[in-house]
Amino acid sequence: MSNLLVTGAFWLAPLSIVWAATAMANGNGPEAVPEGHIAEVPVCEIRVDQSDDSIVVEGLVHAPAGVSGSYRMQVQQNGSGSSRIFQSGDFKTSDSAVGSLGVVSLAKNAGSYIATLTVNWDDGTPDCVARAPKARKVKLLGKGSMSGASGAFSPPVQTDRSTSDSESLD
Amino acid sequence: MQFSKFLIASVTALSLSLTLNPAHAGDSFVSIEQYGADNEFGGSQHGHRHRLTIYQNGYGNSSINSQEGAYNRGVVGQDGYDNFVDSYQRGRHNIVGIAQFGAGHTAITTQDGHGNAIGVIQAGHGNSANVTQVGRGNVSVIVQD
Repeated sequence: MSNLLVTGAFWLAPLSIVWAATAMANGNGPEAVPEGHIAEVPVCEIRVDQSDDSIVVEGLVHAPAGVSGSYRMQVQQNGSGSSRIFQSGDFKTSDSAVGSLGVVSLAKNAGSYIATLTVNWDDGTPDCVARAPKARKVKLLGKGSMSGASGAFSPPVQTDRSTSDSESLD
Repeated sequence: MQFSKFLIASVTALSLSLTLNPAHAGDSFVSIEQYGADNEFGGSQHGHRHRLTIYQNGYGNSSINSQEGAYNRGVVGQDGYDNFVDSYQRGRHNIVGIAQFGAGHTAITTQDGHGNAIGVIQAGHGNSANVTQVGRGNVSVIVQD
């Protein structure tokens, strides 16, 4: 019986990979990023897509064609177990102006997660740091704190450009 | 009993052979099954389109394998507790899949190259997965339940 389960898992793993790879490929399509995200200056982004059972975290760069650099993306999840994913490498953007650096898929019910993406640009542009999930700002006394809508529907993607590379991923 | 001893000895010898003499050809396929406790497997494949399948049932088992080249596939399944996998792939378009059922398992996977994929499934509690991918266009799927 256990062999059957393991055998099934063997087949499930590649299928999951194919699914994630498909998600990554779709992420490169023109519908993946709103027009407003295609920037004149290079920026980075962590895009999070949540379905019923999974969380797909994708590191993206938005930059004119030909921009190059290196990236580091770390994703951690803690729950019944612990997982730590570290992706890094060099890149060069193509004509699409948005490039996928890497994709991580996690089980939604396996605990909380945190993702950090740091991009170094070869042209000297200040480093870009993006994090997910987006930290929610709490207004204790402001009028806006009663609206509720901004918190409930806050986008799962946060793009942040930083002038410091002091963010440690280790 | 004699047969089981023979089987264990054969697997051990094969594991040792794989460790010492990595395969350099292409399209080779290696499948190993180990049952019991404290088994160890070490294997290395060099070249393209190799297949490596490891299944270990018991506790305290470990599997350490590496594949260098392109379009390689490595699959490791472990059932029990306190089992350990360390898988390394260097090259492009490689895939490694690890399935661990039970508790206290550890999976360490590293890929160096472009367009690689890692899938880790861990069912149970106290499992740990550590994935490192160097390159671009890599995908990792981690499922812990």
